[in-house]
Amino acid sequence: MSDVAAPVQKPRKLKDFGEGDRRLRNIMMVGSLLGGILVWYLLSLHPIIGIILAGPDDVIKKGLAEEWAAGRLQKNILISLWRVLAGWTLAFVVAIPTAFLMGWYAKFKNIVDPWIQFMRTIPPIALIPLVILFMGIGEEAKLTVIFVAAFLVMVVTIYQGVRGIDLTLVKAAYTFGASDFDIFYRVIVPASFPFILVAARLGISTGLTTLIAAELTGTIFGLGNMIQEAQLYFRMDKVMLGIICIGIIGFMLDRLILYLEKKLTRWQ
Amino acid sequence: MAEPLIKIEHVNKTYQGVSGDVEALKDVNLNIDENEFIAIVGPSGCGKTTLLNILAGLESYDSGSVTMQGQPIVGPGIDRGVIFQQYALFPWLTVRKNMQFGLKYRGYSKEKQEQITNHYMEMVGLTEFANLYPKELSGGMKQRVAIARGYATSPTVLLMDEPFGALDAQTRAQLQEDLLRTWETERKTIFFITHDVEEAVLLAQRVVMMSARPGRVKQTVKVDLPYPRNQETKILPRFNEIKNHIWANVYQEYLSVKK
Repeated sequence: MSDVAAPVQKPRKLKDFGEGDRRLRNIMMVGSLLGGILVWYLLSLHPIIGIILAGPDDVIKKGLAEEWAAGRLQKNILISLWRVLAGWTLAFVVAIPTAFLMGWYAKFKNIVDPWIQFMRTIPPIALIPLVILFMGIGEEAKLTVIFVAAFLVMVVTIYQGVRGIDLTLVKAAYTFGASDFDIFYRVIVPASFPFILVAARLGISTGLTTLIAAELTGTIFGLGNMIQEAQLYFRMDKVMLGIICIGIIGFMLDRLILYLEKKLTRWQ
Repeated sequence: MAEPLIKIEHVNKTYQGVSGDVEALKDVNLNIDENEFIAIVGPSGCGKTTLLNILAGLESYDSGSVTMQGQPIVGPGIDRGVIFQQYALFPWLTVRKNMQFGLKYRGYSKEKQEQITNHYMEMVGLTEFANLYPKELSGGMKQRVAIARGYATSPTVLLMDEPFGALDAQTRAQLQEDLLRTWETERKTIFFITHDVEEAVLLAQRVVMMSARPGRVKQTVKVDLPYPRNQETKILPRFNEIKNHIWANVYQEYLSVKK
């Protein structure tokens, strides 16, 4: 056509903060992991770096093969997993009512809150000497450390959920004739549910980080201990193996809770 | 003449604030008759929401008396339903479950609950949305659910706090008509707060103008337009006459607030 306008300048592409094409995204993520492993392998071939850094082939052929055949890896994984889950469960069960009580009774919150805020700033590992003095180096000590760390993270998160509740919903429920008890279990509890799941996720990862640290202080089993022992014998393949196992466990637990979150809070 | 349904007599309410006390209501007197549609207009800060909260039993007052059917209002009750501007739907419940939230407290059987829910969902055209969650609905649909939910528990009076304030013009017009149809058939007492004078005149039998700071009843105007009304009612000369009269008064209040 003759009356076509002269080409205008192409509009500037603005940042849209989207995640992009889903398939491309997956390819990139897998590629990133494989690329990382390749870089790791190449680095391990370097004559000097290779002495310190065991390559992926060593980790699988030596570390994994040895530990698996001896049955130690399975046992260490199970023990560490048990500790994380036990400590976390305990913390979860205590954090929920504590947070609700804090949200419901201002007086209780005023008494408890300063302690929570104070403890929150202390790295749980700093508690280990005290814990060992009082509880020894048995399982109780490990569970206590992870309990404290996970509890603090979870209670703060759930409490925020209880506080952040839309007061119009509470008012609406009252006008329908709800009692205080109804307000609690028909409004506060469901409204805080998403926060409970977020707290559970944060608690798991906190528990995992803390537990491994706690295991470094004295035990004969667990992934943390495996890393510690391997370090003594300069078995870097086993150190890497331990690190990778912890990472995978953390990732899987996180995904599990994320999946539950999606299933259970479809209304969000 | 029959006794009014609600009597508000010499009600005072002061909020204690950090930067001094604020007189929200001063010597407020108002009677509301059974089956009446009454609208309250006034500039923001005139205490209309405070008055609604007091009627709902959600807020206390300092002095005076508020009675409904001769009984003082001391707290929330299922005889007074509230429709909030922000819908106040429970996001974790489907439309159907939201509708049924208050029915439990009426002591109805499961079948009766279902029957009432179905009736009101049909009335506002929600039947096909029964199993959706609030986040899946538009603002207008949400407010429809809230209004249907308010009717479902069959309160004696419905207290509406700027229910259409957050909606776009078309949706608002539609919901106004829906509300008129419902009121014309059910004749349930409605206490309707709005800052939109036109909306007040279109809907209500009586419009109460409130003045700002301290909030008090400035004037009450009877809207002598016949029902059924609809958006075309707005063309009537009488409609505009009343609207302009109220608007002039309310505008004065806006100006006084700005000063």
